[in-house]
Amino acid sequence: MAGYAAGRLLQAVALFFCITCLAYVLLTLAPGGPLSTLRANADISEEQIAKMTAQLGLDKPVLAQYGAWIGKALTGDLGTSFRTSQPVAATLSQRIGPSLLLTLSALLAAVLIGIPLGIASALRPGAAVDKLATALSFLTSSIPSFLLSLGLIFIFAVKLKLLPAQGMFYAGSPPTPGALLIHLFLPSLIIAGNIVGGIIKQTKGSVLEVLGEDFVRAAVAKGIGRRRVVLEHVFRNALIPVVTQIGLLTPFLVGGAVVVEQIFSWPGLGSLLVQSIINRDYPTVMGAVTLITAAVLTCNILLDFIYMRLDPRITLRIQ
Amino acid sequence: MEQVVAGRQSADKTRRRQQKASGGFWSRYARSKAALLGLGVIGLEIVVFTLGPVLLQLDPYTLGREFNTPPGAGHILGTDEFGRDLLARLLYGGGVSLFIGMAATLIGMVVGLPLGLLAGYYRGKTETVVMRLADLFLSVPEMVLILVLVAAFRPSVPALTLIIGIMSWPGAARLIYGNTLTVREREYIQAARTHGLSDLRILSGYVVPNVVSPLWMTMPFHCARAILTESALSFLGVGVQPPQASLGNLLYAAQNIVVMSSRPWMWVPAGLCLIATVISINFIGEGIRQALDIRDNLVRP
Repeated sequence: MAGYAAGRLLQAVALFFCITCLAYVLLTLAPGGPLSTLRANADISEEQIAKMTAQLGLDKPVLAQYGAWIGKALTGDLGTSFRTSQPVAATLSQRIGPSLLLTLSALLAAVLIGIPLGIASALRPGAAVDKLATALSFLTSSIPSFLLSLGLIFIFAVKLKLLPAQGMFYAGSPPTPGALLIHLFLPSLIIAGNIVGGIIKQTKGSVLEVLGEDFVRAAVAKGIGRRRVVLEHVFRNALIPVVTQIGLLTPFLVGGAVVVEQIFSWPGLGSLLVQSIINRDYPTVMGAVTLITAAVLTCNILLDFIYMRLDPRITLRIQ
Repeated sequence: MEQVVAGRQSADKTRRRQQKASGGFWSRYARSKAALLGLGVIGLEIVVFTLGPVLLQLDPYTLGREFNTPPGAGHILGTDEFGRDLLARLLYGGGVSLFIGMAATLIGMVVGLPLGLLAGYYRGKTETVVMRLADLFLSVPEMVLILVLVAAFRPSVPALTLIIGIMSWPGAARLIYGNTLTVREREYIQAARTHGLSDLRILSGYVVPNVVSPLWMTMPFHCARAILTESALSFLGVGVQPPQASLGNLLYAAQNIVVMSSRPWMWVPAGLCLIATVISINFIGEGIRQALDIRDNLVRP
């Protein structure tokens, strides 16, 4: 058990280094190099660029550069932004809270919508609720989230003036929890749309499968009420593959958040990543990628442990 | 509880109905109206996007004198802020998006099929390397990796196609790998080996034909995803770069609140076209799945 956990942890750490190294090498080898924007600026002389090249270690082999960069990164020094000249780590630490808040509310929304719909449509195949669930997963997989954002902003913010379309709080008024909730509503629902179809499909499939098991038949035969059979016997067992599925869907959750944050000007990591790519601010790009990767890998490990808690058979098999 | 049991019975019934599917691939595909509609829409789009600009003599780059005009006689879909004809840009951009979607799907398949095949057939070290690499790709957000690649290589249509295509290889590889694992143990493969056929001939003549059919089913879904990725990137301003048009960067205009609220002709047609395209492609995929009678147990977003 402990060995298995350590193995998973080791795997995640190895993945973390692989991904950050890949990103670092790609961004360093980019046509023109990281300093191409500075070169294009007439105010910066060749000597200044040469000095910066030496200062940033860009004259060394790329893997040595990565080694130096990751060494510093692990102590919390992610360099300075090309654009704002602020430390990247400070910018990131301001951005991580809003991003976590948005992604976790989206996850919560997706789970609260997806799991009940999945169960209901498995219990009554062909009924209205089943059709609704099928339509919802089809539509969410066919309408891109940025287009859905545009449409909903157009309806709820521009036409009906019911919901805000930008930021986390109303500009000029003090930040209150109520304002935050209103601002969270549209973006988190739209991000949830990215994964709700997958959750519905998986829940429905595994509930249908568990309903066919002998122990469910036995529970029914014993005369246990319908509620108890569904909640205690079916739901618990059907939940396990759903947790795995959520783990597989987290990359899509985060990917969706990147796009939606940018549209809603949400002050998170996703919008920072997009803006720094547009500005070719490589240290910030690298910092945001590192932090997002670390967050996704941590989330995968946490889900793995939840998975083991839910299904003792897995722990037994490992032992 | 009756409902639980009833639910099970009806699920069994649908399964049996699916198994009874008979006739050739095409007649089973044609049974679904949605699948036919999807095929019709995409076929029509291919014809209109390729022939339309030529026949109507429209150019997406000509700057006109009429700026921001609503749809009317001269310009059927109106003009944008540079006076460019929006019908021309829609037809041209639709073509670009459809091309990226289809080409990227092919690239993902061309990379993923052989890798999955080799991993499943030879097992051992090849298996470990290929499948761990697939895990690596699947465990980070695709969007983040694509953004890094886009930042490193300036986005152009060929570069975007290649990036989106290559990023979709793990799906194809996993599917082929899983099927190859079962097929390699079959008697006919052993028979082929005993006959002294080379690995290349066994793979191409015996394994590939027996493992590819699920891939046909996933191809439309990959294509739809590729189109969505391209349009999201272009919408964010890091995909297809203006003046070149794509469905995504036509929608870029709607990021401006004035354009969004008072000049809907600039973005609504491109948005509808994008949704219609993606829905049609998904219908085609669903039709192929039913025609091939593969149960929907594959992991896909």
